[in-house]
Amino acid sequence: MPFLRSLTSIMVVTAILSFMMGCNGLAGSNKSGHAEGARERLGSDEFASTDRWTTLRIELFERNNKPAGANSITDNYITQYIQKHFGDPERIKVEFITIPRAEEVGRLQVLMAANQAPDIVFTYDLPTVYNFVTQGKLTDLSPLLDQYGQDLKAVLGEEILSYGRLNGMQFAIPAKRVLTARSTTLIREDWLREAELPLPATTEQFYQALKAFKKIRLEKYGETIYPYGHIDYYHIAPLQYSFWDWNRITEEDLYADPGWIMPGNKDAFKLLNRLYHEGLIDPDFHLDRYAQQFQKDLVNGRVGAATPNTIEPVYMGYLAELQKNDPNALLTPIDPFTHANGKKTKPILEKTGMYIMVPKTSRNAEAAIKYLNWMAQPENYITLQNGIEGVTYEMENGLPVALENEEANTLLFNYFDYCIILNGKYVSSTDEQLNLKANASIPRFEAFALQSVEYGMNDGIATPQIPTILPSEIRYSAILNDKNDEIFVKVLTANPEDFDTVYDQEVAEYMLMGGRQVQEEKHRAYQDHK
Amino acid sequence: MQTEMRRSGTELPVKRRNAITGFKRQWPLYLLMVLPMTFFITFKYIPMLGVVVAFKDYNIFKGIWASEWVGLDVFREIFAMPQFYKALRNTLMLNVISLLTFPIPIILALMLNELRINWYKRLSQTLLYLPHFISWVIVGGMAIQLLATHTGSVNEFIKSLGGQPIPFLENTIMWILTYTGAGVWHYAGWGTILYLAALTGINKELYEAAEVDGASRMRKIWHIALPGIKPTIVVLFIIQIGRMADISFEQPYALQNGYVMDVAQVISTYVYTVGIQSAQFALAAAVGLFQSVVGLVLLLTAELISRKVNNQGIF
Amino acid sequence: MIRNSFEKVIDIVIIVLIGIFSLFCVVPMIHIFALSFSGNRAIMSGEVFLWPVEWNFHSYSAVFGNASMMRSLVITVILVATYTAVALAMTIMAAYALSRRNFKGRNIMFGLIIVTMFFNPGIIPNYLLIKELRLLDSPMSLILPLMINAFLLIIMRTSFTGMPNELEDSAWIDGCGHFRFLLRIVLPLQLPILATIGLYSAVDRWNMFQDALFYISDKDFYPLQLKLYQMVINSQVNDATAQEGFNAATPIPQGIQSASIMFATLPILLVYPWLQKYFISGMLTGAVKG
Repeated sequence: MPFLRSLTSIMVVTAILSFMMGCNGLAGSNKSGHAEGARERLGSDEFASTDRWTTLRIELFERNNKPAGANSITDNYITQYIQKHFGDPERIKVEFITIPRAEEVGRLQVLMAANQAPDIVFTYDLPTVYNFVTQGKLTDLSPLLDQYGQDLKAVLGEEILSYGRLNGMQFAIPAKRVLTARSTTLIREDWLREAELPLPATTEQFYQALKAFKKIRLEKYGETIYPYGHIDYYHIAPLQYSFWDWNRITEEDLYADPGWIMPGNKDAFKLLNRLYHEGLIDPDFHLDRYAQQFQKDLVNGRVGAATPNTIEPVYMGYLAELQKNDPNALLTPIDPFTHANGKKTKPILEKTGMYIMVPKTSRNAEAAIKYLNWMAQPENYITLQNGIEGVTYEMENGLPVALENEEANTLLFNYFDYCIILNGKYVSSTDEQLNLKANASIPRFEAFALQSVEYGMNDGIATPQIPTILPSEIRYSAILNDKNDEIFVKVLTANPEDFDTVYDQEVAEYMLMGGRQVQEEKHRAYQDHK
Repeated sequence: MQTEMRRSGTELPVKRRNAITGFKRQWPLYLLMVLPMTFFITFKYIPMLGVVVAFKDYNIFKGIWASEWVGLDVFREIFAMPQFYKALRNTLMLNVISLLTFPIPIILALMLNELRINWYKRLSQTLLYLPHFISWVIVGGMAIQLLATHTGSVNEFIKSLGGQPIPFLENTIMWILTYTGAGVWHYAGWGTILYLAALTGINKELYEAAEVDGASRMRKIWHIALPGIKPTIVVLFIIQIGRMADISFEQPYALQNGYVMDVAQVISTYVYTVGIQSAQFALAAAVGLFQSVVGLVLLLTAELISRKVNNQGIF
Repeated sequence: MIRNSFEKVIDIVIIVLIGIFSLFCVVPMIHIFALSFSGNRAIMSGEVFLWPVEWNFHSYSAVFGNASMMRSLVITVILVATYTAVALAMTIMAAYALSRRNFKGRNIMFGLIIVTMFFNPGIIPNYLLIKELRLLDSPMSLILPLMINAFLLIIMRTSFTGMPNELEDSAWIDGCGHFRFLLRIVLPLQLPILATIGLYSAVDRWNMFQDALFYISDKDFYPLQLKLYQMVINSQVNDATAQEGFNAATPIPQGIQSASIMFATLPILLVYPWLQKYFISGMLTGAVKG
């Protein structure tokens, strides 16, 4: 059935495509029975004039972070540039539909349910994407991609595009993630110097550094500090991975098994449990749901080390705040967590960013692909991400360097939201180093950023991605994520003598709550895919 | 006064009968109900057809009616989830404990009513209802800043006095108390307004008569004020009983953390995680239906008991 | 004498208890107030508790300088005023009719209304209804679906039912019809409950934003609380940071958030003192004598 349905939709799309050749202004709907659409189509059949304009409606994240004096996010230099260089020549009126960032998933689901979604929609939320696929709600983009998407294909590459394909249907265009480093450990180098310790290169040295921090700070200065901060399930992964027995973990296991049952995982948590009981991590870590307290603590010199998202201290601005508060503070990237085999295995992010889709109700699939393709041309993505040359950035040796001025602040505060096909600044499809530099945007912190990325990528290993629909994952993933946090807290704070009992009991509960189904389904999916 | 009324009634038998038949004419009442009933049918009953979702393999894109019927499978699935029972248990537990705080707004209102210093009365009324304007998202953040075991201001204060920090947000029993306390803080002052309005409606002559009889303050509260607001109390109590199976999303969500999920995972947060976040609308709708039925049954039971005991209820 | 001093003790106990509870209620608001006037550095270092540190008005000038916040305020005030008037009128009509003892069918209607308190169809059926009624992006979508709150209707009806029977009797003697009785006698006597229901409706509408999130797509017409909510929630999305990798937007400083909370709360706070005179005992004195 799904095959038949997609076949029909392909046929309909092709039919409409051929029909549209002479009738530029009209991307046809492939959904019959949409009353308004049908009427409009009929009208334009009669007057198949070439001066009819199409309106292309594009989703845009609203983050409510517009600084004073900036233009609206739906009407500014960037949107005018898009209209002028893409819209006008194609006779397309580009219109941005804002969706609040924090509620994007719920809002998108409702818009799709009511057939009111814009022509281009996107989300990071894979269960939602697969939900749309199962409901047959998305346009198959492969024929359009072949016809209009050459530049887009070149930028994204076959691998990334393949993650948006299922049974030959291109249900989405995944964005390219330029930087895949996930997290990097940082340490207060000035405190290390005081303790006369080197930059930790191993887990043991890291542990000694934490102990020294606590001792010196507490005894010498009487300050309460948390040697290791920002503790949550997501951010301790480098430490966790360094304990896993990689000889016993296949790629399939990495894809399918929850971290809790990985060989060696228990030892990682034993160490964290020890750190907790020795007072080396923030005792209130579980209350810091949004890592806001961590940032405050770091800025105020109450944190000795942490493993935040790579370069986060730069783009969230708290590295600058720290140095403002304490000019002697020196926060240095390190790469301490070492496996018994000497490697520094750690997770890195998948190569894809958000999934860009065209709803089946859209009559502008062709315009949508043309738009994405236009965006994939260097002069356009450089403008969308960097603004106006000479005003907000300068070109230096092929690298757009952001200028720190008022114009840049008011124009580029949401620069990452227009160029949806790229996650992260992008300059060159051949020179990775150039891309890296482009992302280390603030010159003052360039060395910090480059070092962070290097460590964040070192021995990095990405979880395999398999484009497939996993009903049980859609069903259980949210509740299992909650359970992850719960186990995390319970295991870290358990009495050392009860540690094994608590761990085994909680993990057993996790597996019972749906963990087992997800695991089995993923194993099957992996094998089917091979 | 009452006797006077009765007397005047007997004096005018004919006129009264005519007037009653005239007054009993009900068309104006039906006329008054036209708009309200239209409202309830349009905005409540028509979307309620969406509840059939619970029985269907809901496909948001096919629309409600075109989705396939799966009978009671969704319910079977819910009742097979051990987590659901935990959430249900926690919901009932937190609601029963919150029910214990039901008298607080009544007591506050009675106290405010007894206050004789006018400016103090006005000022404290205004302050009491401030918390109602702080949304739970913000309360959640403040709770951590104030109550965290090691860093919270309250515990810093306790420690500076040489005491042991209190794990307000970690220990399950303390968490339940914190949750209940936050609820009182947020709603009690606001709830007093309903009782104050009812107290205002009490006939002042009753107080004057009591004054003449030399009744004490407590006696006046007990024999005049409380009976005067009893209908309001009964109605609010029955409604709260009816809401036993229901729980707000914001309050538990804002206060919960990984430590206390055993008691803090309630139906609303569970449905949010399992139903909404994962786009399983049928499941969310089925849980909602279950809650509605339980709530309605509880409400009717409370109504019946109250009728028997009090001769008073909602209807 | 003994009695008098006992009464005095009660007075003092009440004053003290009310004082404690009021403090308990006001502390968090003072905290927000302090944050809104404090410098960013002081906020980040957690120095601010109940008194502003590094006094400044930057946060407020940012809020007041934001034209869209001011426009939101105007829109919200108009919306709340309209809504309150409509809601009061509708609730009074239903509450009066349903409070008449001889009204045939009132229990059926009342039952139908109570049932709606328990069944919440959820966002999608509601959205589809609003769409079908062509109310999307119309301010009516924020008024019509909420016209009667069944809970407030029950409260008002209870209050109407509690009126002495003699009033009705004296009304028929004067040859009053239902409409005149309602307008001339019931409403003037029920001012406290009208003030209460009006206040509750106004505050509910003021604080509510979820409906606008879905029904209003043009953010220029967002009510104030929705803007506020987005501001707060957007700085809490850590999933977004993880998903977007290094791309997350800088959150809005806590000082500005706090100033916005003050900005979005003060106007509605002012309504209460204005209505307060209706909550002072003794309004009914002698009314029944009529």
